[in-house]
Amino acid sequence: MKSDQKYDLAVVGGGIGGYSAAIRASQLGMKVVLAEKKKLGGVCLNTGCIPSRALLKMASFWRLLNRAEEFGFSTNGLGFDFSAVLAKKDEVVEKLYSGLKVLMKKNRIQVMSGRSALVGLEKIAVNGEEIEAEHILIATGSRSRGLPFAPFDGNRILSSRQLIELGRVPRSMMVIGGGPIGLEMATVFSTFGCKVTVVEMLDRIAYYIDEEITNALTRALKAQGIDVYTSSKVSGIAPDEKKVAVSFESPQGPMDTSTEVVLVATGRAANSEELGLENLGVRTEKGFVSVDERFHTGVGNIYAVGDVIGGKLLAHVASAQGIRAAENMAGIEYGDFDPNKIPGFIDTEPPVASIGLSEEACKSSGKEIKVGHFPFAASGRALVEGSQKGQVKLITEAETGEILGAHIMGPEAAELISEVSLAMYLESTCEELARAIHPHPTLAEAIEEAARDIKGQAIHK
Amino acid sequence: MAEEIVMPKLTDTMEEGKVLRWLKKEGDYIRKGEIIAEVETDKAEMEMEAFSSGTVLRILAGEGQTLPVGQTIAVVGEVGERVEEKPREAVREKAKVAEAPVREVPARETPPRIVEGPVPIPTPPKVIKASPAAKRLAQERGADLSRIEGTGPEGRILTTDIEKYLAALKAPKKEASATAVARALAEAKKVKLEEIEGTGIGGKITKEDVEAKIHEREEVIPAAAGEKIVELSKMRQTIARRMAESKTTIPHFYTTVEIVMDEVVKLRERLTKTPGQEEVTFNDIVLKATALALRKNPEVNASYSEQGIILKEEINVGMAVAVEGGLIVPVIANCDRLSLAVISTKSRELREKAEAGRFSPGELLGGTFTVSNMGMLQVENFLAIINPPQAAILAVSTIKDEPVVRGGKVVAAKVMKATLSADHRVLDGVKAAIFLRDLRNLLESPQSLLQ
Repeated sequence: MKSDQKYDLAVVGGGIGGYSAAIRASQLGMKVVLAEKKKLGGVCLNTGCIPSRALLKMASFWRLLNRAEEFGFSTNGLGFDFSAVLAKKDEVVEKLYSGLKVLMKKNRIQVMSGRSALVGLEKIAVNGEEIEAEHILIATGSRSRGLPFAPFDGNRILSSRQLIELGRVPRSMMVIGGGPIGLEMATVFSTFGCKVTVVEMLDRIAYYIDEEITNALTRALKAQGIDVYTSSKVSGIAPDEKKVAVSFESPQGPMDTSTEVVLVATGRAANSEELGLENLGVRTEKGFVSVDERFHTGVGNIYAVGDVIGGKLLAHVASAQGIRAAENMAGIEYGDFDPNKIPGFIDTEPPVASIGLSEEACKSSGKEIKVGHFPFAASGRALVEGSQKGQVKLITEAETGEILGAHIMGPEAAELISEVSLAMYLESTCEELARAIHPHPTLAEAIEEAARDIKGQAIHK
Repeated sequence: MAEEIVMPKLTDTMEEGKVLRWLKKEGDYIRKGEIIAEVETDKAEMEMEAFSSGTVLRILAGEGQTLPVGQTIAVVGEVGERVEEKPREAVREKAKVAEAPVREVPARETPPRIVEGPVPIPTPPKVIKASPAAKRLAQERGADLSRIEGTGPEGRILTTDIEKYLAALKAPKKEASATAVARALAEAKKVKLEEIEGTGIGGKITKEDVEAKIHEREEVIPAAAGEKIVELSKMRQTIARRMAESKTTIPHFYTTVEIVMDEVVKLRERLTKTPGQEEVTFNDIVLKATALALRKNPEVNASYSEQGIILKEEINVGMAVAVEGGLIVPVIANCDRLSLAVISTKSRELREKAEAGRFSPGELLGGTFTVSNMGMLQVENFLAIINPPQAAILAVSTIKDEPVVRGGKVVAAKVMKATLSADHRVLDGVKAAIFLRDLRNLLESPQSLLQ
């Protein structure tokens, strides 16, 4: 850690955006220093995606166990120990964290621990120590943004991280915000016996996903005992010793409820304060750092990626951007980051995945489209798996067959969506999706069939 | 065998050339590629090279003589060979002369430049050299010898050259690498993939590349909500191009006059009662008056060129006719020499042809001046855009009842505005004003139009 040497790249923030950029830069021959104020891996690894995924896996396992008889098994005295569940989650996180440290060493990335600030066009200060670097990457991520009238207290009014750290299953929970985080937490805790109510301000949950799919998802959530209120706005939250009183306006009229805990999952704020950005002329908007399509801030050689620049707050987005920013710095410009071709998923039951435009978005932009559907109820594999709820919905441009969007509700939706992501990246049409041979019996065949359905030529429907 | 040297086509527009100077004389030995004469073409003076070696047996064109392209100007061969008495004459193409330009150059003449340096390769009627075996092979396989490059002595085509040529024809064209969407879009919009450079990975043609080509080709601006795009017809595309060209390259200036048309109105009344002249319209009268005014002002019946102002001998007045999809300007040739009756017949015919969209080629060519009349649409005054390469255009507006002052008194009169748009490189204000004065005089005392 020599302060007299100049690095090629200084990365501020060791989350997935930052470390992906650091590794890619190192592969391209750059000398990299990475500064992280808390833990390598950031939110995703430590308090976000990975921990939630571990909990969701255990929740889905629990659901399956409770259907054992359906598959011909008899069970006696099935139970769960939530703390064991949490311990397992910690184990996973720890393993990944160690792995990440090894990756940093392997790629000869200098990792520094501490708070950073940008102090010059080619200088950052980590805990006061000045480091010189030709390029700087801001990848400081985001944090849960609470409600102004009801700040997080870690006890009754919780962020998603605090909910996971609670270490127990509350008897009841109100989830404010019907986005991916809110819905996933609702799914986990409802599975383990919590009575969950979701309150969403817009007229539907997960508004960016195709309406046909979100309507089906809402029905599925309700069937599991999760209450969902849309077009509903919270008007008051009053926590006390034992519970929280929440009042909200709903289409059915004003509602007054009482719940054990409240999860606020209404959005996230960028971690762009106290970085010294204003002094260098780096612009922000509502806290999010402004960049061009090369992820350059317009100032010196300062770039920014991930949650801190806004857009879709997804880990793979941060990682993809980080890699491209490093490539741009090295002079290799692919220019292949297309915000309309980013897949996303929600691990509800059944899971939902989506990429591209919804049917409504296509129609309102005046595009002529063709839509293909294939329900999992017609899929042999889905029947065997015991998960027939849901469908694959494919939207294509009428004239050229270009794939504009795909929305899947059903088993393994998150895995299935990657095939469509590749097809869209290659600018394939529904023709290619329909004609590439998918093995039988698999869930992926549903994609082939939905593609055939565009022309009304599905085989099994 | 004696070979003929013919007047070569040294420029793409050259039809004849003048032998300025012979650099070789009869009896001289010339080598292929040597410059043997200086020739003046329609664009510049150029050097002429020999296409084969030999002795100059006969020179058939003297210095200063102008001959059509293809005509024999000399014979080259071996010493002692006999030369045919009658040299080959070039097949003259009957050129349809739409106009007879009389060149008038300004006092200080700048002589055309002599081209120095690399001379463009002349393309005379080719004598194809091929070996007897190659000739046989070409005939068998149906290969066009004139398209094959020979690698034998003196450019002779050999059988191997023919084989290579035929093989290249059969080779499959390398298919452009493109994404499926790019391919589908190109097909839908009739864009050729071979014309597009791909910017995707590995040079693949992407949807964006095809869209860029489409935009380049059509300059399409996507219709926003509430808008509808009407595709340009071929006619409108041409009009668009020509009008833009005219407006941006010709320095326009405008002069307007008011013409009292009472006498013309009376004249027309009379004519409607005269057998053979019933169909004469106001526009016909204006056309005739314009033609006569042009006769008096020849500089208005002209064109700008770098060599000078080209004064046209014939007065061919074009009348702008609105048709579906745009505008067309059929021409009434020698308008100044035609009677009103004939003009009226012709103008009616041309209007009918315009509506049917069917013209004979001569009817649209050779215009020296244009009249655009918007009177029937109650337009009070407008400024027309010059129809290149003409020097001016007259915009005629509606005849309105207006108060005018005559002899200190206000009376009603039928008044019509006419605006001349003129090319300031050819005309200035005074000339334009004089033309309009003459036009006005003719229309305000229209008896002269009846001749």
